[in-house]
Parts: sequence; C-alpha cells; structure tokens
Amino acid sequence: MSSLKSLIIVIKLCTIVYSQGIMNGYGIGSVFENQGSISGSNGLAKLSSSFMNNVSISNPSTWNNLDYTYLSVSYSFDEALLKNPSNLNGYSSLSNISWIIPVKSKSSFGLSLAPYSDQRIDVLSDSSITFIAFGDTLESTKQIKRVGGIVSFKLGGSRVLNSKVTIGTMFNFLFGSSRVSESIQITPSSPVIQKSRQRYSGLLSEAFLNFKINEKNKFYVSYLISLNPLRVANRNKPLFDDVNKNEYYDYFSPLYDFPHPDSLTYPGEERLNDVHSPSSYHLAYEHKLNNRSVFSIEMGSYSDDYKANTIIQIPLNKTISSVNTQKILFTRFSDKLSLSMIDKVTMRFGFQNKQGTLEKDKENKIREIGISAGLGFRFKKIGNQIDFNYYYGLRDYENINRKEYFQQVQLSTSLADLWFVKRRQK
Amino acid sequence: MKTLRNNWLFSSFFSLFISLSCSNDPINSDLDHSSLSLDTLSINGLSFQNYLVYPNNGSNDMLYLGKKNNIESTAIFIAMETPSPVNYWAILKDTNVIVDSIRLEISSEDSTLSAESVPNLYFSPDSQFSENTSTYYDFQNLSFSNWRNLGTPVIKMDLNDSSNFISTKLVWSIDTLKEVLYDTLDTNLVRTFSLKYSSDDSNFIELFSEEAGYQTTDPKVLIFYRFETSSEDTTVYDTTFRTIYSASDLSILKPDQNTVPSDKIGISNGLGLRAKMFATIPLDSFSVGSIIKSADLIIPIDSAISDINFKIIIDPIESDIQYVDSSVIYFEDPYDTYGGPYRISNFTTNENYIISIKNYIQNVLLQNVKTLGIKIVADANNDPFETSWFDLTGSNNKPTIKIVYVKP
Repeated sequence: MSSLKSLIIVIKLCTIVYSQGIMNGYGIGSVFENQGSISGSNGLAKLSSSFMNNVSISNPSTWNNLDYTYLSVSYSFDEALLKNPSNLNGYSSLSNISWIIPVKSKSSFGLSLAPYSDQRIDVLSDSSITFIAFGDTLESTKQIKRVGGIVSFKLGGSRVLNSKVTIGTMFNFLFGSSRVSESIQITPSSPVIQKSRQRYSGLLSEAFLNFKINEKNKFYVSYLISLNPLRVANRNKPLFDDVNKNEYYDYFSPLYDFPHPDSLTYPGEERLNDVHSPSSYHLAYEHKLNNRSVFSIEMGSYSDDYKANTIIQIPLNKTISSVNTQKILFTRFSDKLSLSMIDKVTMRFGFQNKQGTLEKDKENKIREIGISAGLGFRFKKIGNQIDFNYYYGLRDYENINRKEYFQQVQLSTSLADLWFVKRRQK
Repeated sequence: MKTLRNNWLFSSFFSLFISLSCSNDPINSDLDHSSLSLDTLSINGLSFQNYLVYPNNGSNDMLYLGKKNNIESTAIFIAMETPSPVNYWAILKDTNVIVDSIRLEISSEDSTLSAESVPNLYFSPDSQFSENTSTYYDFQNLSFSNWRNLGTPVIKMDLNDSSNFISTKLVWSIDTLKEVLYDTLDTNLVRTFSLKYSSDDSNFIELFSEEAGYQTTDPKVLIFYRFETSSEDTTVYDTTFRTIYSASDLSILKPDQNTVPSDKIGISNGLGLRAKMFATIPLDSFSVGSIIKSADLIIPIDSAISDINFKIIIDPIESDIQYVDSSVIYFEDPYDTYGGPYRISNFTTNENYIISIKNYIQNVLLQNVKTLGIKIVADANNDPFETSWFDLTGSNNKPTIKIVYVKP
C-alpha cells in the first residue's frame, strides 16, 4: 500500500513537469552545456564539487579524488512551455554516460558519451500569406522542421602535479546528423517540401585546473577551444510536391508525389567549415562550510565564432553567439561512514543566471534564470549512487518578446567498483 | 523491507518514463527567412500551325459511311476472325451437318434506318486492310468490280420485353458465300466484307464497330445448321447456330484540303486535321529547383463553328522537324512525340480548351524533355465528323499558359 501511494505521488509530480524548446531552433541547436544541468549527479555545477566531496563528474581535474571506478548513466526529461501563444514541447533522452577510472589518487582517465546539441524543432509561420494567382486567392503558410542533433564523445584525464594543483584535459569529438524539412503549404493544395541532410564533425578541447588554496577553499578553471571547428556536409534534396501528404518523397499509388523522383538530378554534397567554433572559460570558487557542505560560485563565458552561411536553413534564422553564466551553488554531501538513511542523502541547490546574445548583436538578448534542487542517495559500501535533479527556470527572448518556462528532470545512476585490481583467488 | 524499497524505486523510475511522454507542438514564429515562395508566370504569344494526316479511325467505337459536315467516309471494311480453338467456318464443309443459312449482322443505334438509307455489302476473299494503319490513301482507286455484291440488308429492330428499342440490326444473307468462306485451297483467305453506298448520294449511317462493346454489338456472321441424331427407332434433327465475330473493322475517311480554311486552326479526326503549338518557355524566369504547382494551357474555342465536349489530346514533340507543309497530306504524322506520361487529354467547353501541362513544364525545367512544341490531335473516339476550331483572334482572350510555381 505504501508502495502504491509512493507511485501515485511520483506520477502526480511527474505529470506537472515541464523544459526546452525554442533554443533548439537557433544555430546548431540547443547546446546541452549551455542549459540546465549536465547530469543528475552534477546539479547545476560544472566545475565545483557536486557528485561527491571533491568530485565533479564534468571536471576531470577532480576525478582522481574518486575512490572507485564509476560508471554513471544519466537520463534527462525536458519540457518547455512557451507563452503567447502557448506551445508545449517535451523530449527525453540519455543525457550522459561516463566511465571514470581513478588511478592511485594521482591521475585519472575517463570516457563519456553525451548529447552535445539538440536540434529537434518544429516551427510554423505565425501568419499566412495571401497570394493572388490568375484571379484565384491562395493562402500559404511555411513550416520548418528539424530533427537530429550532435553527439559528443569525450576522452579525458587528470594528473596531480603537487598537493595544491591538479590539471585535467578533455577532448570532445563531435559527430552527428540532422535533417531539415522546409515546406510551404498552399491552401487548397498539397505542401511543397525541401529537405536537406547535414552531417557534422568537429573536435573541441578543454583544459581544467584544480587549485587547492587551503583545506577550505578551492579554485577551478576550465578553458575550451575548438581544435577543429564544427564542419558540416550538407546535401540539399530537390523540392517536391507532397501530393500524398505523408512528408516523404515517394511514388506509391494512388497519389504520386510530384515530380517523379526518377526525373530529378540530385545535387551533390556541399561542405562548410566553421559552422560552430566555440570557445569558453569557466571559473569556480568553492568554500567548504564543514566536512559535508560546500558553497560555490561559478561563472563562465561562452562564445561561438561561427561563420554565417546561407546554405543551411536555421529554423529561427539566428545563432547564439555568446552566453555568460553565473551560478550560486550549495551542496551537502552524504556521509560515507554513517548508517543513517538521512546521512546517505546528498542535497544540491543552485541558482543560475544567464545572458545569451544572438547574432553577435548586444541588443538581441536571451535572458535565463533558474533554480535547481537535487537529491542523491548513496547505497552499498562502495558508494553507488542514485541522483535526481530538478531544474526550473524562465527564459526571456527579448528579440521576439516571448517568455518560455522550462523544466528539466535528470535521473542518474552511478555504479562504483574496483576495476583493474588483481584479486587473489580464494 | 528491502523488497518494498526495490518496488518503490522501480515504480518511481517506471512512472517517470511513462508520464513524461514527449510532446511536439509547432512553435509559431516569423519565417520570412524561408525562401520558399509562390510566383506566377504567364506565357503568351503561342503559335499554331495546322497540318493534315490521312485519317485512320480504326480504334473508334463506331463505323461510319457516307457524308456529313463536308467530311466523307467512302467505305467500311470488316474482316472476320478465324475462331480458335474450334474453327466454326469448318461447319460450312462438314458433311455431318446441314447448313440452313449464313447471315452477316451489323448493329446500329439508329432506330430510323430505312431500306433507302442502307448500303450494299461486298465480299472479297483476298482484299486486305490494316485496322491501325490503312487510310484513304491506300484505297483511293478502290473498285468493287472484283468483289461480290451481296446487296442491301434486311432491317430488323431489336426490342426488349417491354417493346423498347435496343438496336437496329442490318442483316445480309450471305448463303452464296458458303463455298468461299471456308476454302481449304485458299492459303491466304481473309474474308473481308465492305459496305458502300451504290451511288454518291447524301446518305449517312453510323454502325457499331467491334470496339464498341464485348461481342453483343460486334459485326458478326451467324451460321445456322442442323445435325442428325439417330437411335434405334427414331431420327432427331437438332437446329443450332454458331457466331463468328469480326476481327477488325475500319471506316475509310477521305481528307479534303478544300474544307480546311487557311486562316483557322482546328482539330478533326475526319479531316485528318491536326495542329502543332509552339510556346517559348522562358527558362531563365524560373529559379533552379522550382516546382510547378499548376500550369494550365488555355486555348479559346470558336464556339460558333465548333462542336463542344470535343476531346483533344496534347503530346509534346520529341522529333526535331523544322518545317511542316500545311498544303501536304502526310501518310503518317511527321512529328514523333513523347507519349505517356506527357500525352494527356481533356474536353473542350463552350469557351475554352483548358488542360494541365504541369508535368510537361516541370520536365522542361528539369531538361528531361525538349521544347519543340506540342502536337494537338483529336481523340480517336470523337465523332470524326466533328471539328473543334480555336479562336486565336480575340483581343482579350488569347491562348496562354498560366503557371503557378514554388521557387526555392
């Protein structure tokens, strides 16, 4: 009965969860690291300790503080509610898989697979165009749909230089693809659709520094550069009249799309460089309030030195050129030694403020504020952990005078074990 | 306790997965940056040229004989089939049966036929024609002197049980052909019948051809015969018949250049009158990759002298012929065309002939077809004695192609 009550409560909580949406329509889509939490075990933190004392999953320079090898999987639910007019969008996907191996508390090595950007969006023109063709009145509306995104495979590690300084690095291999479908719906008639496909590749590199000022205070720095800015191979498909209105270019009875696919010559692939060339730095200061509680402040600046092009259709026709972030975080970690259930719980709270700029135009702003709360439950002696994080916020798109309320739920499970240790046979 | 906790954890994760279902509302936004847009193009200055081709009317549902609207059908040819696998013609030489009579029967939907308006029937075992290719040119000097004249038919009205008219049947007795209709010595026996009026008067008759329906109204030969079945003390004669249908039939239409005004453009099967239309399609006006939403060819019809509901076929020209002489009657059409899927047809109205040439224009843009013009012909099932004339003189209503397209 207790279990059933818990289930009902959780369902009620989940069904009011909302996050994400219009950001997917800018540039290469919504860059995960620029929104919400990276994973359930991070909360809002990027550099400062969040997973456990002295460790952040997203900061390699802290990995050597792990006691065991960890495999961490995080799943994210995002929903965004746009106002005036009201649009609700929700997606869910794996948000991070990390495998981190500390080596004798002196160094570490880690692999990670995570979405880099989400490009899923469906944009409908906000007004129809009236067109008089030889005395007939035609109404047309436009629509741009984009699906797909970019995934990053990360390879990183750290090395303790001395008792105060640890450095880390992370190589970020970007790959993925997306499809854009641009259509014009003519009433009364079938839509005319142009599709295109993009394949992405790129390589980013991020350096980390962990500086221990004293026992209570730490300072973290990260700096990201594009070793190979994102390249895209774009293939535009020919325009077609989707007579059977199934959104695919096919030629099946009884309604044939026009013109016959075999009558067309398909254009080749175009390659574009520097469609996304990010660089960023982040600074974090962490103050230990006691053995289990830390207070931290993070700030970061991200900029994208992309080259604008007219080949790839960007659904909202703008790209985020810079983002400045400020975060205030409080984390109370679990007690490794305590047997109390309460002491096994990690609590995370955070506040975040962001200002994004579109098209390198300082007047073209996106402002975001959000709060986050999370819980982690440590179980078994070696420190397996289940984390839950909830982030709620508001984005104000000044360029289009619209507000978006978003919510994000992250669930993570992290399994610890001793790997690569020779055990004596019993 | 542990089981309860595990259940709780499982339930929590499961309920999250099922309750946080994805939703995908389109976001409304300004999409002016989308380059897809509608545009129109009107092509005027279409040029037309008439030319004549000896008409072949073999696929028409009807057979015609006589003169109407200054168009003349000089003869009708009907060739009978050799039935397979049982050759019923062999009954004529079968010694086990007694052939009572042989009849040729042709149907008409005209209930007013009289003995004065029916043609003579002729027979030749050797004269050949091709339903698909023979024309007046092949039979200009046709003489029936070597044909057997079988005279005029008996006219029978076919009525249903309520005494309503179904059809008129022209029935000829062809008993005298018994020996020649199944001549085993003739290796090239074709059994061709012909209908012709005895004099060039103003008679005109329409008969059903073999294309009109499945056997019921086909021209046919009926062989009525008896055969004897005997038992120990009785002999019984059974009477029956066999039907042999026509294999091909054709009206011979005579083209006449004198009936075609030089200042008009028209289309007629009976006259062999066809037209070529040429339009300069300004390819540069279209953006690369444009999609044609509609492209209507509109040709005004001179309703005062045209028959309406006239079915006209257009077919883009593939062969690169520079010049066609309007004063010549061609044995076959000088223009090779693309055919399907570009060959399309539509009916005329009182005012216009409007047909969608969207597929043609699109493929011109895609450079899959040449812009050598469009051949315009009458559909084979039009009454060959009807003509549709284009009105090219109207100042406000010129032939035009109206195109609506989407440019990328």
